[in-house]
Amino acid sequence: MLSGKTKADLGVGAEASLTPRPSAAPRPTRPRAGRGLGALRRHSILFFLLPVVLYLPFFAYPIGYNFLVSLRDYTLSSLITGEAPFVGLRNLSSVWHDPIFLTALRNTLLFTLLSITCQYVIGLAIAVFFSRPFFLSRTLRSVIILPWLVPGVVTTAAWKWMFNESNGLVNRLLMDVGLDPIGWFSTSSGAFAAVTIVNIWTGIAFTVVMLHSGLQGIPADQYEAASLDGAGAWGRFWHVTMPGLRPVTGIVIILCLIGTLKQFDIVWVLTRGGPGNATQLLSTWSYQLSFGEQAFGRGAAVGDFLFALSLLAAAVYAIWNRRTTR
Amino acid sequence: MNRRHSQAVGRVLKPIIGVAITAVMLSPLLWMISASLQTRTQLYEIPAHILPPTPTLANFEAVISTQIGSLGTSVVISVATAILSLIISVPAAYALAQRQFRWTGTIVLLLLITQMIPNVMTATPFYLMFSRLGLVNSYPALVLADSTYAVPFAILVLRAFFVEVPAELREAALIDGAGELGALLRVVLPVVRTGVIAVGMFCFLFAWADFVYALTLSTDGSVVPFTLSIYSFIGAQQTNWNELMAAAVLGIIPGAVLLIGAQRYIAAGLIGGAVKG
Repeated sequence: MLSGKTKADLGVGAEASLTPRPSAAPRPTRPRAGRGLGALRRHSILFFLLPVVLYLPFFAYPIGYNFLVSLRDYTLSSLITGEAPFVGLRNLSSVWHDPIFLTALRNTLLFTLLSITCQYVIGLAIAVFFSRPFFLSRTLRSVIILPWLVPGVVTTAAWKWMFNESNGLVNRLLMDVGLDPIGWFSTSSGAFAAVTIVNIWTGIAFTVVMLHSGLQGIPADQYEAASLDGAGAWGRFWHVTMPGLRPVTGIVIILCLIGTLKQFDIVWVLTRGGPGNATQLLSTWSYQLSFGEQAFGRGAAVGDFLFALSLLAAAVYAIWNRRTTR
Repeated sequence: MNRRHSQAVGRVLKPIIGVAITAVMLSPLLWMISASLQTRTQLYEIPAHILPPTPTLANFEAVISTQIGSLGTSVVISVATAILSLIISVPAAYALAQRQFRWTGTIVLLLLITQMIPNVMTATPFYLMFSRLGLVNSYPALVLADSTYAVPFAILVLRAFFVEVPAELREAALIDGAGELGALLRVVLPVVRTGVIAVGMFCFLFAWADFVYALTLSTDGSVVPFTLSIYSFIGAQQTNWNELMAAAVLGIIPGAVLLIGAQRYIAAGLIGGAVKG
């Protein structure tokens, strides 16, 4: 998952690791040979955790520190003097009452909903199309994931030229079929459509790969049984493919959701949240507050909201997962 | 007869539709490559050229000298990130796979949560932290920040690979008198070589693709990763699209090389991490 990563840019790639059924069954315990070799040897494996333990502060610190910053009036001068007065929840409340908050929240939710729906549906269609081998299918299927291995900034640069209002491919094709060219970056709806399309496109490669591996896991005899029962292609899809894909579907959707909530690169490179906040997301707004206006406390507060949103999504997924696997 | 007929049609049609789908999916990249081979005037001719009328490498000649520095910077950062991430993750994943600690589940859960953290959110603390340490605009800052993408991913995926290694292999090595480290380096690692290479490549790509940390931790132009260089190219007053597209093509190279040269590793890394768990 590369976009970000997402893969992210590669971003999404970074998340290619949720387990399908967390703690479904305890791993069978193996006989341990270390037992007769002395206590020292048995515990020596703990030393293998030493590097990650030393590294952990670098990881935990920024996360904890973000919450602390969001409780302080941290500005450019704090950077120099190191003084940032404690203001409690004032940053959170000031961000909450800012009219941009509602715009950014609405944009983030709409952007996310449109993205994951289209990523899933298009990715599923492509994965199903490539599920049975045919001439060239392996080559094409591997080439199709290239966008996912390219930095988001690079693909977004390509898209920016595709959407170029005077001579981009998209407007040229629109005019070829007799439609009016669209002001992709000068109108609010055009810009929102542009960032959403690019984000959908970036995520499809990931959903194709995941759903393809899910499809390979569905036993062929289930399809044969359904055929014998008289199910047509459509019936087989609904009664065999979709239920068989359920665990992978859960992972794909949660990973696309988290990847899209975090999305920053695409929007920042294409529109920087503009025109007039039309594509402002919580992520871009947080960045703008921190690094545009040096209001680090408020930027961190927006970050807190964004993180809470991701956690909420993950919690919903965990509950759904527990229900469906029981 | 009818059935055989439709099968024959399918055999011809499917590859054609498959190529069409792939072309649509790759169209931005293809359009970018096409633009990179055209001159500035050709780029603005109407109707636009789908294929470069007179392919030229002039754009590449123009950008290679300006981009080579940032490409080098990104290679250094990405290689360092991959090495650092593997040094941290390989032993940790091995330990977590060999021993079912009471808190293994908790650690895995925490690693998953870290993947949800928006990097815009950690960029501010990193910036504040590194500016106090005097490390803004330095390689170590970017390597450390980028490794936070890679380490949780690497531990989770490598653990999945290590769990699959037959326990007898390690036990035999231990009985032969090798220490845990010897067992890991000489017996277990060679078995999961594919997985380690795949994970290392992904760590490289995460750092290669990083934009948020580059944007925030590089402020004075002394250490400019490739993504940041492309970004400032786009932001220029008069965007030179033909040269920008040539520069962007250079950014596809590592991904494309991995795709061609390491197909099976990519599949192994992905499926190992995502499905086996």
